[in-house]
Formats: sequence, structure tokens, C-alpha cells
Amino acid sequence: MDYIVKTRPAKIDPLFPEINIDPGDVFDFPDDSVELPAIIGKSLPRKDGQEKVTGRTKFGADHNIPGQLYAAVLHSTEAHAVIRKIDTSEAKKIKGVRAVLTGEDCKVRFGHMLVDQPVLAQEKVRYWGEPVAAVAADTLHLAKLAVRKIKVDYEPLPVVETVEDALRADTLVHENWSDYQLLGGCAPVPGTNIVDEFVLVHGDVEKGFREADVVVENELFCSMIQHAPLETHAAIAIADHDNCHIISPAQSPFMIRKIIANAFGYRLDRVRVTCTDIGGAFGCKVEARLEPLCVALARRTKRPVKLVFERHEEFAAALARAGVKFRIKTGATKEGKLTAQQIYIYWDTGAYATFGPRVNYNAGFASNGPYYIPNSFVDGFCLVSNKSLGTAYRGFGITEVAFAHETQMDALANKLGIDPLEFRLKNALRNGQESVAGEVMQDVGISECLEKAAEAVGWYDGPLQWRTAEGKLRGKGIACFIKLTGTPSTTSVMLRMNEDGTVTLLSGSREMGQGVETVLPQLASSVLGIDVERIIMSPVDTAFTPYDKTTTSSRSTFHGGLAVMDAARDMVRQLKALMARHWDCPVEEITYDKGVIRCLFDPEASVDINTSFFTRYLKEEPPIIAVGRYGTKDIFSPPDPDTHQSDRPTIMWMMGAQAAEVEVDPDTGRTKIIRIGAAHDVGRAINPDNCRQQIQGAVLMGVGNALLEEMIYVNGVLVNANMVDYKIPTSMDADFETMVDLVECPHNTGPYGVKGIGEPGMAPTAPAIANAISRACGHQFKSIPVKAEHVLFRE
Amino acid sequence: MLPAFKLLEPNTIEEACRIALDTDGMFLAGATDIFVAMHGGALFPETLISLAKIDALRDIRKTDQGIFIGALTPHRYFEFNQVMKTRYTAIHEGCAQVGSPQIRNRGTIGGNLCNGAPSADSAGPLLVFDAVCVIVGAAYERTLPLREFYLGPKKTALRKGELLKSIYLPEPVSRSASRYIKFTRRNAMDLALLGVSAYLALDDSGGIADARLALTTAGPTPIRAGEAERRLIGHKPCDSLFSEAAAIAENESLPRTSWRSSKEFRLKLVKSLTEKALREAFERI
Ligand SMILES: Cc1cc2nc3c(=O)[nH]c(=O)nc-3n(C[C@H](O)[C@H](O)[C@H](O)COP(=O)(O)OP(=O)(O)OC[C@H]3O[C@@H](n4cnc5c(N)ncnc54)[C@H](O)[C@@H]3O)c2cc1C
Repeated sequence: MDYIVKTRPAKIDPLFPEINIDPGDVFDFPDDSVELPAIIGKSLPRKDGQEKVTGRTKFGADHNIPGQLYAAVLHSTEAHAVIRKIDTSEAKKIKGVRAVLTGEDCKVRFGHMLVDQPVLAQEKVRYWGEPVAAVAADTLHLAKLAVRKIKVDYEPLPVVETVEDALRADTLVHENWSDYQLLGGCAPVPGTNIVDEFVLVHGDVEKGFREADVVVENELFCSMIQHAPLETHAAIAIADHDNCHIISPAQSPFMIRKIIANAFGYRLDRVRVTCTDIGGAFGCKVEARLEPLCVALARRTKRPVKLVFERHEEFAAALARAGVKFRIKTGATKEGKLTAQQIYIYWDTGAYATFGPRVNYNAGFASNGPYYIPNSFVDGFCLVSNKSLGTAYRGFGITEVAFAHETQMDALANKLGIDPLEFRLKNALRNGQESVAGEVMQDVGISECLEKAAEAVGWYDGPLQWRTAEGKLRGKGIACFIKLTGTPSTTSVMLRMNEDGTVTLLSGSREMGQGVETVLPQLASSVLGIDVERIIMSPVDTAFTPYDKTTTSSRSTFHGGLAVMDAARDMVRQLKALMARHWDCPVEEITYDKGVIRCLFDPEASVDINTSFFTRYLKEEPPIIAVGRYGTKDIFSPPDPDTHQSDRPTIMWMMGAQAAEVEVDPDTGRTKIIRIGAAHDVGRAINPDNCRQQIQGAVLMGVGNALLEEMIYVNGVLVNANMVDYKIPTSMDADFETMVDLVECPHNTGPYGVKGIGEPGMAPTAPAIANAISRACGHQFKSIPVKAEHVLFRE
Repeated sequence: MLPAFKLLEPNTIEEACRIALDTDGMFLAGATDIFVAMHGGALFPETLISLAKIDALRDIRKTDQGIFIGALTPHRYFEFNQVMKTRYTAIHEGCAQVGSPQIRNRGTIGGNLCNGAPSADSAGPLLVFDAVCVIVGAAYERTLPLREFYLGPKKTALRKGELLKSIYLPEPVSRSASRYIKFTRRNAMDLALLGVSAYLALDDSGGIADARLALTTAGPTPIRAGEAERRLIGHKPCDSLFSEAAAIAENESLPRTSWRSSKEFRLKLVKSLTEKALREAFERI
């Protein structure tokens, strides 16, 4: 039972040359006439749903190890300062305190691209909240008490607070980049605050601007914001000098394993990361955060050490989405054809590199939007500052760049007197057109998304801007985006058939609200014909889970899914062989259809693997255990480092559009969202309800981004580091209608045509809302969030 | 994490006051302010004196002149009580907008006032109803108009060893109504960036017999806008009068620029929300 529609020539996978990819393994669904397995497109409830809503799930902080010590951290009260002296004597005197560590005692640094981040501040602190000392004690009370007894003498340094400060480079956040081990993925510029630069050159922008009839230029800004997951960071470490075991809600356990091994000098296999359930991550649990602190304390005390961040610590010392400034210039002809776009991007990535350069890279590729633009120039700078650490945040910079290009699209449309939807449709990428990265695009569904999103808010039903009978200002806005998935990357999975015929699926893809624990079993079931109820995902542990690069970039259903189907097909082969042995017939005569195994020439020989009867055949047989793999190195065409032109920079592009209708109170400036129409090209909805939920949740997150959220720094101090002053939307702020349309423009490689939808739901929300507010007010707003005072004091 | 503390649970007001006099203990009502500060590392009290066992602080007693409401009465009471909804509407509106249902179940009116926050949602509405604080010490009781209760940011007229026993609310006259408008950035779990409370009473000829206006988060403490009130009394209610009074209220308010919002923004809100509160209070009569 293989759902093959179109075959391609056999290919040798360069990563695993010993494995011959069977041409039938490549899935391709060019049209909808193909019958899909019934489990595909079925809205099964989330497997983890009931446990979570009834409070039975155990998250990071819920775990405890016998004999564990409790850790607490002293955070820097300065944004940028030399540490003159740390006095830990009073803390050490407390009975029950087992270790007090400072940067003096632990010279370890860690990092993913650049090994720049000290476990505890070394010589100087670089952001308000940076860990300066750590305590392990018999109880949490004692640990916290000890932290309060530590005295630090700082000598303040000038604070690098804005991208302008960073560019000026009068003050360097890091004096000497070459002090750090460089692992790759970034190229810090000596003597500057630049960790990395990304340049994309396509065509000739000067020529493009000469061909333009109108050119608009804007300076735009997006605030630094926080992931603010319900679950704060937590970790336990059991470690000595040879072995290290970490228990944490890690998003990408294999990355954490590598970071820890590299930082502390462990052999990779001696580091084990056991994952707990994740109570929300959105990118902030991709970084090693508490893990290195726990390992340092555990090595010192020879006891397991547990550390959980409190909410105020989460704000001060967890992670963030970088603030960003754009200088963007776009040209179009009178007819509304885009001719050129030039974008300078300045990321305020905070004190250490973390995944900042990757944000710059991904966003750089996406910064022109899903448009055909013959000439483009992008220069993106990832800049360090004395602020919280900017990293992956649901989309790797996509909302921000979408805010920039979508503000431009509206500005141009307004200038040319063209309807903003029409303007976008005129320029939307089409199959066969070359993107700004130089790739010939395929499977592009953006026009349909734009039309559907607009339709959902009644785009053509009336004016786009009007005043209600009560004197409120109404406006509609639209925005779209394009996003790549990290390429190249690899993954592997294992399917184990248990003695009772149930199947355990081992995959490093972490369930973090995106539904992977439900969708991967659906994909396995689609091949195996085993009831999806009988397939469960095993907990994730680097000690036994097969390698997966990371749970980010909306990649798991696509990559994990292909690996799962690969494994499932292997399992089918093994099941056929098993029954051939039992029935004593050649394996070629065995058929497999929806879990029913038959011998072609023996009507008696038939068994359904979903029945208990089947399990007798498993007894004392070599176990049925299958491995599946997927990697994208072979399709990846490494971009030219100077221009980032590439035939294939990513395996998968995601696109979508959203439209918003808002109402602005002219007396208070407050904006109310009336409705949002969202249309995303998911390629193929394996679980449509889950896709809708992804988008609905993301839209609410986007509302926070559009109207509320910002990390406010005053002289380097994060002043709104609490849940009252840092405002995420509550359920009472979800008082608007969200209409979701799932567009299916199948991907030629993804499982059944799948594309990613974990991050995209949020990408166009804030830009669409900002455009709607701008239209309602007849004034173009140039930063997000758009707050009431911006509305009241617009020019 | 909550730092360690000693919890005392006196059974009577006298006992509670005596402990407060003899120790550095803090009174604990619903804990929705105290525990947040303690969790956040801003407050480390050694002793907390729980008021939970003192039933007298829960008393609600009607008299001919008005109502005495015990300090431990939770916001939820004001949210659902019919008398509050109909006669003391602004108080109902203030308390019904505090935090979330959980917070309104735990948080008390006494805690809201004694915490001394300039943004307290019950403060402005209570001010326009001329509420009076009944304060008790170890061996005495005194009353103080709420107008005199606030001394500065986070500073109240309570002396060491004193607690707030109840709030006295005079009965509003028949042709009167009130309105509380709270401006927040989000729809729930938010403190007032500005709060405007208005109370209007009309005479037989339809003129304004009494007008009271209170502003929250428009200065270091909740305040009454006396000048604006005087501009209203004795005149026929109309939009232009409300607009004039609002402009005066804007002058009377004392907001500062902070990272939470600029002074100019709050002033604009004072103007537009005062106008609106007056208009809507009037429409309710
Ligand atoms: C999530 C959240 C949302 C909130 N939202 C709002 C809001 O929207 N609007 C708003 O106004 N507030 C809000 N608050 C603050 C708080 O809930 C209220 O101020 C509440 O009324 C405090 O009452 P309490 O009983 O919990 O006070 P507690 O925390 O128990 O005490 C507060 C202070 O008052 C003192 N105190 C308490 N009772 C007495 C008494 N009888 N005599 C003398 N002193 C006393 C205590 O010693 C302490 O200093 C919110 C709080 C939270 C946690």
C-alpha cells in the first residue's frame, strides 16, 4: 500500500549512500484526484490535549530527583559594568548552602554559533539580569537567602542600548571577538558590535529605481518582545567530570547536548538530555539557558541540582525576540509593478550571539515578501547591545520583515491609487518566476491566500476606511509573508512494534503545542494502516531517541513526517517478510493493504495487524523495528556568501496572508480588533483542526505583537519585567472573530504535499493590523506595537 | 517563590492591632497585592497578620443613612450585589473590572485601599460616593473621610497598629447616578492607566444639584477634581458644560511622564474620559 502518484528517478542519498531511495518513496500529489488515505485530512483531537487541560502533564518544574539540591541565581543589576568584586562570604556561611559559584570559579562559555556566553559573568556583565553568581543549597529557601547575601561591586560602563549605539561602536559589548571559539554560522566583525552581516544581491537596484515611477522610503521599527511561555525555564542536572545528564523542557535536545558537550568538554555521547513536556516555548527553549548553570553546580557539588526560573527572572534573564530597525526603499511603475527594493536591517540582538545570526539569515531571505521583484538589495546586520538575548521567536524574524515590506506595499498602493489587495496580487510570486534569491519558484499559493484572507473580512463589500455611527474609525488592512525552513537539516525516527501489535514512535520532534505528537502518528498510520490510537510517541531522550536536528522552523511535520513514512514503509517490508515466513511463500506474493496482509495465492492466508489474533505471529520472532531518515543536504544549493543567490536555498517555502478589520477610538486612541481573516498555504492539511488551531493561537499572539507587547528599557534596565507591565493578550482580548482558510497547494516533496504551519500563523497578523489601523486613521504608523498614544499623537 | 514568613491568625480586631503594634507584622487580607510583591522579591515581611479569622471585618450592615461594608469584602461582592449595581454603579463598575474572576474572589476592598496604589479601581468610585473609612486601633475607633486617607504614593493615613475595619457609604440621593471608566491597554488583568469616576445628582428643575469627580492614576494618589465639580454644580447639564468641566479636570490632574505613559497622553485621557463619564452618568439618571 504505497501512495505513489508520480515517480522520480532513483537517487542516492549523499548522507546515507548505503540506502537506496526507492523511487516510490518520493511523494508527489500534483492534483486532488488522487485518493488520500482516510487518516490524512482527519481532524483527530490532540493526543496530548486531555492530559494538559486536566493538569496531569508534568512540565520541567514538576520533576524532582532524590537527593537534589536547589539552585538560585544572582542576576546583574547593571546593564554594562565591570565586576570589581563579588563578596560571597556571607552566603557561604549559611548552613545548608553547598556551593556558591561566580565567574571566577567557572570559566566556562557556551554557544551554538559563537561560544561567547559565560555560564556566569566573567569580569564584566553585559545585560541587566545576566547571571553573576549561582548557589546550590539543601532547600530553595536557603538558596534564595544565600543569593540575597551576595554583594557585588560594579563599575558601570556606557550602555549600548539602541542599534544606533551599537553601530557607532564607541562602546564595544565584546572587546575582542577572536577570544571566542567560532563554530560557524556567523562572522563577527573585529572592532565592532556586528556579530554577522547578511547580504543579498539580485539584479541591479539602481537600475530598478530608475525604472520606477514612484519610490517610497521608510524607517520602521519593531520592539523587542518576549516569548512569555506559561512555563518558565527549568532544568535538573546530574553531572560529574565524565558524564552529564540533563532533564529539561528542551525544544532541541540534540542541540543542547552539543552545546553542553562542547562547553564542558564532554564526549558527545556522555551527555544525555532527557526531555520533559514543554509548557510553551516559541523558540526560547531552543537555547541552553539553565542547563549550563545546573551542570556547573552539579559538577561542583556532586549532587543533582535543580533550577527553575521565576517569572521575574524569566523576564530578566531568559530570552527575547530582537528589536529591529529597517531602512527600506521600494520602487514601482505607474501600473503598479514592483521594480526594486532595498532593505537595510539592524537587529538589536542583545548581549550574546545566540541564534541571532540565524534570525538575520532567515529573515534576510524573506525580507522582500512573496513578490516578484526583479532587483533587490538586502543588507542585514546582527548587532549586539546591552540587552536581553534575542533569539528564535516563532518565525525567525518573519513578522518583523513582513511588517517592513507590507508597510511599503500599502504606501506604494496608496501613492498609486491602487487597491492594496490588487497591488499585492499584481506582484505576487507565481510558479516559474524567479525569486529575489534567484530560485525558480514552485508550488506557490500566495495569490489564493491573499484573495481568501481578503474575502473573509469582506474586502470588496464596502470602503476600506469609514467612520461608524458612534464616531469610531474603522479600517481594513492586509498583509502577507514568505518564510523558509532551515535547510539543510536531517532527522531520523524509529518505529517499534510492541508485542501486542501497538507501535511506539521514537522521534526527536518535540510536542510544544504544534501537534506533532498527533500528526506524526497520523502519518505513520497512513502507511501502516494501523489504527492511529495504537501508535504513540515515546518521550524524548538523547540516550535512545534517534537524531533530529531541532524542533524549530515549522519543519517537524515535513521532515519528521517523511522520515516516519520512510520507517513505516520499512516496517511494511518487515511485516511482509514475517508473514511470508509464516505462510511459507515468497515475499513477492505478499500484499499489504491498510494493515491487512495477504498471500496472493492462498485465500486462507490473511491477517489484519489491528487484531489481537495477529500478535501470535510476533512471538519469538525477530522484533519488527524500523528506522526512517530524511535529510535535505542533497537538494540544498549553498547560497553564494556575497549575494545569497541560490537555486534552492530551502526545501520548503511557507506563505500566507491575513486581513484585519479594526476599530479605533479617536478619543482614547485605543484599537479594537473586529475580525481577522487568515488564509495559509499549508500544502496539505494532515489534521485540519490542528492547522486552524495553530493559526488561531498565532493570531492572538500576533495581536499582542501588534498592539501591546514591548520590552521597555530605561538606561539598560528592563523596567516592565513582570506580567502586569509586559502585556500579553488575555483570553478577554480574543474578543474578535478569526476566520481561517486552509489553502492546499501541495509541496512536491512534503508528506502528501505538506508545508509547515507552526510559525506562519503569526507572521502576517501584526502587519495586517498595523495596516488596518493606518488606514482607519489615514496615517501610516511606522512601528509596532501601535499604541493608543501613537494614534492620539499622530503628527 | 514566596520567601519564608511567620503567619499569625488573630481572632479579634483588638488582638490583630496589638500584634501590629508590637511587631513589624503586615496585615494580610486576600494577599493579591502582598504575595505578588513577595514573589517578585520586592517585599520580605517577617510576619504576616492574617485577618481571615476576624468575622467582624466581613460585616455588611445597612442603616438608614447608608451602608457599612467590612474591609474583607471581596470585589466579587460589589460585582454581583444588586444594591451596588443599581445605587452605587460606579463602585460596581470599578470592582467588576479588577484583574480577573480569581483576583476578584480573593482581593478585598480593604486591601485595595490600604495598599495605597494610585490605580486602585475601587478608590475613585468610593471617593465620589463620599466614602468614610472606619479605622480601629488596639483600643479605639476613628473615622476619616476617604478623601483624607491617601497621603502619598503607597502612603495612607493608617498609623502603626491601626487597621481599616470598614467603609461607610452614605445613601445616594434619589435623582442621581454614577459612572466609572477605566482605561487599560488590554481587556483584563490590567491596572488603570487612567480611571475617571463621575457622580451627578439633579435637582427638581433638572439642574445639577451635586457633582463629584474623581481621577485615579492621574497623580500620586487618587484625587477628587474639586474645581471641575464646582463648575458643574448649579448648571444645566449639557455636552458643552461637560466638556468645560473636563478641561478643568485636566488642569487639576497631576500626571507625570513615566515609561508607562507620557503625561500628555494621560492628560488627553483625562479630558476625553471625564467628558464621557459625565455624559454617561447623566444619561443614567
Ligand atoms: C493579577 C492581578 C490583577 C490585579 N488587577 C487589579 C485591578 O485591575 N485593579 C486594582 O485596583 N487592583 C488590581 N490588583 C491588585 C489587588 O488585587 C487589589 O488591590 C486587591 O483589592 C488587594 O486586596 P487584598 O485583599 O488581596 O490585599 P492584600 O494583598 O492582602 O493587602 C494589600 C495591602 O493592604 C494591607 N491591608 C489589607 N487589608 C487591610 C486592612 N483591613 N487594614 C489595613 N491594612 C490592610 C496589607 O497589609 C497590604 O499592605 C490585581 C492584582 C493581581 C495579582
